[in-house]
Amino acid sequence: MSQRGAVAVTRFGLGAQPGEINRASDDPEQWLLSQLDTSRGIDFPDQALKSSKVQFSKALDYFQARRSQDAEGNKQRAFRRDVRDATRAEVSARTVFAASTEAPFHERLLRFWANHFTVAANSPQTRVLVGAYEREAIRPHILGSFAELAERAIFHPGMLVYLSNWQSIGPNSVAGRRRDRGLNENLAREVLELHTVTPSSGYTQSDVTAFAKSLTGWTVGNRRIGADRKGETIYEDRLHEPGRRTLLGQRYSDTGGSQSKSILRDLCRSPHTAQRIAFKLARHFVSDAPPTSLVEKLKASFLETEGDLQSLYRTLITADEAWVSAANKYKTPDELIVSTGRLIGLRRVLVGDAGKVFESFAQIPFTAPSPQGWPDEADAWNGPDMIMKRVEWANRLADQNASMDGRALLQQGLGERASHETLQAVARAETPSQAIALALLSPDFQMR
Amino acid sequence: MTNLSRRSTLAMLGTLGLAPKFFAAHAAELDDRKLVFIILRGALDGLATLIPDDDALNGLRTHTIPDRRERLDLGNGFRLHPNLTALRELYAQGEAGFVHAAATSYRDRSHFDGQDVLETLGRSSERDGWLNRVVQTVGGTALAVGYDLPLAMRGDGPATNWSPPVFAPVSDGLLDRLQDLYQRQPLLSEPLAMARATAAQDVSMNSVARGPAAQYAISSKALGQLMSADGGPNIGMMSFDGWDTHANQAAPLATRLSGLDKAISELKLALGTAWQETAVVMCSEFGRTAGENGSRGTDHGTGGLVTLAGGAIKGGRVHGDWPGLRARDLYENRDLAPANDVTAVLKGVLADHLSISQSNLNGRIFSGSSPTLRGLVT
Repeated sequence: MSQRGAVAVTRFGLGAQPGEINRASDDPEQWLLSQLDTSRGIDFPDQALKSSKVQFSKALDYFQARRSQDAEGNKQRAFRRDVRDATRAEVSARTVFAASTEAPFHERLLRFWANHFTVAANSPQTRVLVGAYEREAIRPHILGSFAELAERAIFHPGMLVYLSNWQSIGPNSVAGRRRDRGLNENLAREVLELHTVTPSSGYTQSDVTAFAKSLTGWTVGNRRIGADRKGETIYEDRLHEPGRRTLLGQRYSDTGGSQSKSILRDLCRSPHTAQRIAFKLARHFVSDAPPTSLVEKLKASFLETEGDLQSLYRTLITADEAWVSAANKYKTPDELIVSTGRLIGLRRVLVGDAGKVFESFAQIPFTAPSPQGWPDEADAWNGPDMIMKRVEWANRLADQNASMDGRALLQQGLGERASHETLQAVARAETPSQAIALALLSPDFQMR
Repeated sequence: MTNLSRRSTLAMLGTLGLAPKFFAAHAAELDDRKLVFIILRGALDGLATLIPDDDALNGLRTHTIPDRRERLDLGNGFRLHPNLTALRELYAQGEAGFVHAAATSYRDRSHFDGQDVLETLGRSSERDGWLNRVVQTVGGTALAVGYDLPLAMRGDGPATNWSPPVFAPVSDGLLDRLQDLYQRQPLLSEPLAMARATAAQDVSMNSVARGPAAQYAISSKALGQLMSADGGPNIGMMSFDGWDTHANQAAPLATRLSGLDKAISELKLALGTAWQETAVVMCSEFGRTAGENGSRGTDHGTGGLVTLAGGAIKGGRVHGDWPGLRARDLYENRDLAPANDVTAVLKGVLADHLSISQSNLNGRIFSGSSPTLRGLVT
């Protein structure tokens, strides 16, 4: 076991399974790099999960029936039950996989990007899409280029619905001139602000409006438009606001649906985007206030390779700043649940009602509070009440599993990252159950 | 329904070693005046909430405001959304008032930056909140109901947060050892110490609420109960989420306004006689567009609505200026203009309700000597 092996597993990975630190210790960098090998394929078990097309067309049919009053009470209940079961299956598959995967670095990156391009279940329409969105738009594309990932995410039905673009209609489009609906700038604004160039690029309201106009036409097939491709992303020229656009000083000719894609590609290339991604990645892996030198390295890699994500990850792995021994990142609730699951088995972690554990930690998967995603900084998660909830949870978990050995948990879960103070506190615990609770609540295990 | 009786709450506090010493230690020399700040995150559509009798509105809104006949007439050129019956009643009794077309200094339209500005007001670089600076100035303690401590409350002053317990309480033995183990990690030790010291009295609430609107009322009831207890906090805060109504806003907005109306009633009920000494200020990070967008919703705007309530409020009126809704009145040709300053409203409440001096307001809580809107408090 080595210090670097422990860092690889607990900081870059999702927390140690018994024996995992040992396996990573021979060559920690290689252990991480091997997880990025595209020939590994995608082993996420999605056989029981439904595609966005199936999910969304089912929802559209249901809403249509409800509008025309022919959905009876039991049909409504059946639909709600269906949605609830599908959501549970998604949360469960995602969590179980994270707690068991042998490529936890890959899985951490998946979660990072899914959070960067957040689609949250904030309405019945998005609830049916969130799981499929992550599996279809994010998971297959995190080893390619940033621009490709961004395009897949932003033009997926999940995002088009979540940020209202599917209902956005160019005022001077064929459809817009006939109907009383029009432009919705939600998606355009969030792409600029959150996904790509950020306000540091100095974009103005007119840039937002121009991009929103450009994005019109990109919608999701439904009863009225694209009925033969229900639930799929479609481009419908009748909804598109025609015209040339100027965005951040760059001119774009009138090329219909591909105009917004050209704009997005340019946004993805911007140094402001590089800066944002570099900063977020460094912050996620190293510290809430990441070293500037690391951010600069990542930014340079992003710009040199035009956002090649494999190169970006390699830059991160080979940077000394990423391997400091001090654990500076406070685990989010989701990270705590997954890492504890990897250590002692998920069934023990989700004591009682699994939903209640996520809920009491205020981080139910797929329900980020806003398009900004879940916060990544400690000060969003270490409020007094949240700390106490963690203590109560670990206490109950320890009581129910008092046959575990707290010292062994430290050894398996933290290896050489377990501090002298924590080893001592666990060794001196009054009861086996208290030792377990102290091990899980120790700063060493709560941080990464 | 998890009903925490007074006895079981006290028993729980006992197991936690929580004499109400945290609050008591800071409660000296305070009278009964209380302040509650509520952020409506996501940007409330003020024009659909307090609706002006303005013909220009007809050209701007079709699907996003309630029918004129259903609006509750306040008799002064404004009407309330029909779901705000309790607020209308308070208005009639002089215990609720409004400042329309109000905004902070923030003029871009990002929720996140806008909320940061609203919660820090003038000192965003320090990442501490203005409510925390209020506690530092007037003494007492601040309590947020919710899972996390909002930015407005973060800082060096005594502020904490509370939400109903989900798992069984924990023994002192474990907590003492943890406290010891956390010594070298302030990120964990300080919040743990705060949590241990939070005294909760006689709180009854649903541990799982259905829907955001139900959550508003439940949080309000808990906050009212905690604040009205002996030695309870004098500053309270809640965040109500879900106001970002970009598409088909009429129904979800109506549901949330009902929830908000219920929340105010619950707060008044739970505060009991303390309501007479309470000022409640509610607002969003900014307002929404004057016109509606193409999806029967509204987009991020500028001028928003501040709602004031409480026995300490000089209600029954709409304070401040009204900029109008003609095309030339709008900000950047699209938003309700920021005719009133949110900071000036807060200053007015802080000066006249909590008797904070101008020098403290300008030097300690906010920065610079922006105006103060007077006459908001009885």
